[in-house]
Amino acid sequence: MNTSSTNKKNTENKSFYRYALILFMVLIIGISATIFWYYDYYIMDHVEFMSSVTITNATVGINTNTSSLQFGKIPLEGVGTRYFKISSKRRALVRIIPTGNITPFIDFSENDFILDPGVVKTINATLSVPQNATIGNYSGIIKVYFYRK
Amino acid sequence: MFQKNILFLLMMFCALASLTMIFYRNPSAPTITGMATSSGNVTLTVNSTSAIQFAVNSVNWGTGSVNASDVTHNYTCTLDTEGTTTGCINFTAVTQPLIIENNGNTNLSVSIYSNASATDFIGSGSTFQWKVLQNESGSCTTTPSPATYSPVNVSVSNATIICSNLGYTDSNDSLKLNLKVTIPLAVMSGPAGDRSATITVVGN
Repeated sequence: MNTSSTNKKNTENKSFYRYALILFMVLIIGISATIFWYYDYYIMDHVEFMSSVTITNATVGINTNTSSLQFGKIPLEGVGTRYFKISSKRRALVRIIPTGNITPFIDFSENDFILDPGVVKTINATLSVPQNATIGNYSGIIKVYFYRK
Repeated sequence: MFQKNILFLLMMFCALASLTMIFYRNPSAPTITGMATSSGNVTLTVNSTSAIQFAVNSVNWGTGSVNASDVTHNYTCTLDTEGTTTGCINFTAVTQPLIIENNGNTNLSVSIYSNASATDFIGSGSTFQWKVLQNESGSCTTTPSPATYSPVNVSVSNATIICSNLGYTDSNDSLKLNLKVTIPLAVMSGPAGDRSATITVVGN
């Protein structure tokens, strides 16, 4: 009688662990799928391009390369301006994030703005060199994120 | 035994599905692009225009005044970036013009304008001029202009084209911009202090 009762308990325990394991796996799949789906849903697109500048004493270097955002050579206290146009097929929140050691010098005419579909917006990227900047090369990557809105 | 196998298969499926979810990216989703470009949803185009502003005080003549006893130079101080400091007291001679280079990989049309005229920059009766020459021979396939000192242009919409075709080969891609100012004695009766003007160079 005792042996039968113990066996029944063991079987019940095994079933419980099986169900718990299955529930755990379903939970993992659910969480992974949600993260995966939501990530693609939230960030609609993102574009990256290189940017660089050489800070000089008395040389102005013009670079009109269109595959990246090059500011050429800018003397101390000088200001360089480049332009880029962006558009989106869907309504998006646009966020521009510069990275690298060029970041302290660079600014954008607009950032964190809503871009309606079909609208072409021109963004001025301004690079200002302070008087106390160190002569040399600076570079980074400009990341433009388009969030679904 | 059968139940064990089912459970094992289910576990394998769940584990594989989880790993797939973590590492797999939806191929229909927009892709990350390496350069300024367009993808299915968005377009980004970098404009082929570049503008650089620099302060004229980066031409460091230092601090000085007009020589009030120099009748030879008509009580006028003349400074330029070719070493001239006539009729002046204490200003430093500057022999280094500003160099304008083409750092890109296409020929450029280069134009310049100033944010201040001579009167705005220094005062009534003064002059503020520039001239442009080849820094490396053959850099500009046409003759750079103005080749002799001429008053600065303050028109943004009608900037002075100094070279319509500036090359990009490293050994032939630069111009020199010389600046010249004259300061009459009368200006010295005004308030002392720093004078500033900004010149903008536009390439496209």
